[in-house]
Amino acid sequence: MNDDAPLVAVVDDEESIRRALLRLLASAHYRAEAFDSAAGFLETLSKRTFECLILDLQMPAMTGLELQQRLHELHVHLPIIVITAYDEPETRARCLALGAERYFCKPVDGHSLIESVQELIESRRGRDRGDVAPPAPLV
Amino acid sequence: MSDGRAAFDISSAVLNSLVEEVAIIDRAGVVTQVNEAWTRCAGQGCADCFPVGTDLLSALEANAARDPDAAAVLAGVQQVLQGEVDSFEHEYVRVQEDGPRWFNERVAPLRTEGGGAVIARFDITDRKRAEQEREAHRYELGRAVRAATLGQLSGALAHELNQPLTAILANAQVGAAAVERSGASADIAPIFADIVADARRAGHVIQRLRSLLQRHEPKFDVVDLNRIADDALSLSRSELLVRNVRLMKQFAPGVLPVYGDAIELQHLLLNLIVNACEAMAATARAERTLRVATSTRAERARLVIEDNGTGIETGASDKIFEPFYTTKKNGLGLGLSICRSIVTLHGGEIALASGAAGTTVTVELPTVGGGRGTLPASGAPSSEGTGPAADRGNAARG
Repeated sequence: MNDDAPLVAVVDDEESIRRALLRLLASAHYRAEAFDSAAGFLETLSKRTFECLILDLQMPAMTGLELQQRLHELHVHLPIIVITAYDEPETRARCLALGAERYFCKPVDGHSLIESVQELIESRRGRDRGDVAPPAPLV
Repeated sequence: MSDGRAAFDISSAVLNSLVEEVAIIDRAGVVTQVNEAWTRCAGQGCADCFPVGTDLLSALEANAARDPDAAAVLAGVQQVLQGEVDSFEHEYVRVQEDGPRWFNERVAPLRTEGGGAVIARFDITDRKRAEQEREAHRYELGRAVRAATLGQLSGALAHELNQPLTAILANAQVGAAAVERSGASADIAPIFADIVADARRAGHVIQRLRSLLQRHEPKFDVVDLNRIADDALSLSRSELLVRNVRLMKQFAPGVLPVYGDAIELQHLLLNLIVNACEAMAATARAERTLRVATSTRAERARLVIEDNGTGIETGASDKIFEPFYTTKKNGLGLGLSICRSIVTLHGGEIALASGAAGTTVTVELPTVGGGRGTLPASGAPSSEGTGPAADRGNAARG
C-alpha cells in the first residue's frame, strides 16, 4: 500500500461491515482504518490525518449524528459519508444539515461508495490548493 | 258474550298492532291464529310463516333434515309445548332477494287452559348489520394497530437485514475486483456477480416492503404504472411460487406514466394479485395462470389482472366492491372496497368480470402526457429503492 494514499476512516459498530469496507477501500488503493465506536475514532483523531470519514448512524453510546455534532463543535472539517441501515427522511435531513456530504442507505453499492470517497477527497484537496470551487451547497 | 267478543277483538287488534310476526299454535302444534305481519310475510313468499291450520310440528319436521334452523325451532317448540322449558329463542338467517336477513324467533307457552304456544319472530337484520359493522371497525382498528406495529418492526427488520447485506455486497464486489485483477478462473467471476446482484435485489425488496409497511400520507407524483406492477409482482414472487401460479406478463412498452401515489397503487396491485391467487386455489396446479397486463387507450392507462380460478357467482359481481360484501368464507369484504377507494382517489375506474373461466379485474387510470414518454426527473416512484439505480443513496448527493 502506498503510504501517500489518502487515509479513510470507517466508523461502524458492525465488525463484518468494518472488515468488508476495509477490503473495499484497500482494493481501491486507499489506506483505511476502522473504528467500532465514535469514541475510538475521536481518540485517534489527533494522531492521524483522515481525509474522509465513512460513518454509520446507529451505534451504541455515541451515535453517528452525535459524532457529527461533536466534530462540528471541534471544528473538524472532514468530508463525511453517512451509511445507514435505517433510513428516515428526518435523519437524512439532520445528517445533511450537520455537514454530511453524502448519504447512503445500506446495503450500499461499493462502486458508488468508492466513487464518492474519491470525489470528496479530490474536491477537498483541490479546495486546499485553492484551484477548485467548493461543493455546491446541500439541499 | 259481548264481553268475550270484545276481548277477542282487543286480542286480535293487539296482535295486529305488533310489528313482529306472531302465530299461535294449540297444544298439538297446529297454527290457530296469526297476526297481519305474519300473513304479510307469508304472502311475500316466506317459507317460515305457515298459514292457519298448518300442523307446525309436521311442517318443521319435514324441513328439519335439510334445514338445521327448522330442526332447532322444532325442538324448541316441542319443549315449550311439553312444559320442559319456559321459553325458547333461536336466531337464524334467511337469504332473500335483497340479501341475507336475520331473524330472532321466540316461543313461549300460551297461558290458557287449552295450552299451546305463542311464536313471535323479529327481524333483527339492522342489529346484526350494526354488529357486523362494529366487528369490522374493530377489525380495522386491529389492522391499523398491527400495521403500525409492523411499520415499527419493519424498521428494525430492515436494519437487521441491511447490516449483513452491506457486508455481503461489499465483500462480493471486492472479490469480483480481485478475480478480475488476478485473471483467476473464469468460473469465479459470475459467482461474485450473482452474489452482488442478489444482495442488491434483497436490499430492494427490504426497501419496498418497508415503504409499504410504513405509515404514510398519500403523495401524488408522476409514476410509472409498469414499474409499480413490476414491483408488486416482485413482492408477490413467493406467493406465486408457493401457489404454483404461472405468470403471464403483458406490459405496454416503455414507461406508462400516471399521476398517483406509488405506495397506494402498489397496495392496489398486491391486493388484486393476492385475490387472483386465492381464487385459483381450486384450479389444477398445472393450469393456474395469472395474467397481468398494462396498456394505454384514449389517454387512459389500463391495468388488467386476470385469473383462471373460481369465478364469482352471477349477481355478486355488482356488489363485490361494496364494503363488507364477501364471497370468501373467512373474508370481511373490505379488500375490493379498499381497491375501489384507491382507484377512485386516482380518478379512475375499476370493473370486474367473472365467469366459469375465471375473473378479470380491469382498472383504468388517467395517463400523464397521453401515456407515452419518459418520467420527469422527480417522477420516479416516490418510494426510494424502487429506482433503477443500484444505489439509492445518491438521492442526497451534495
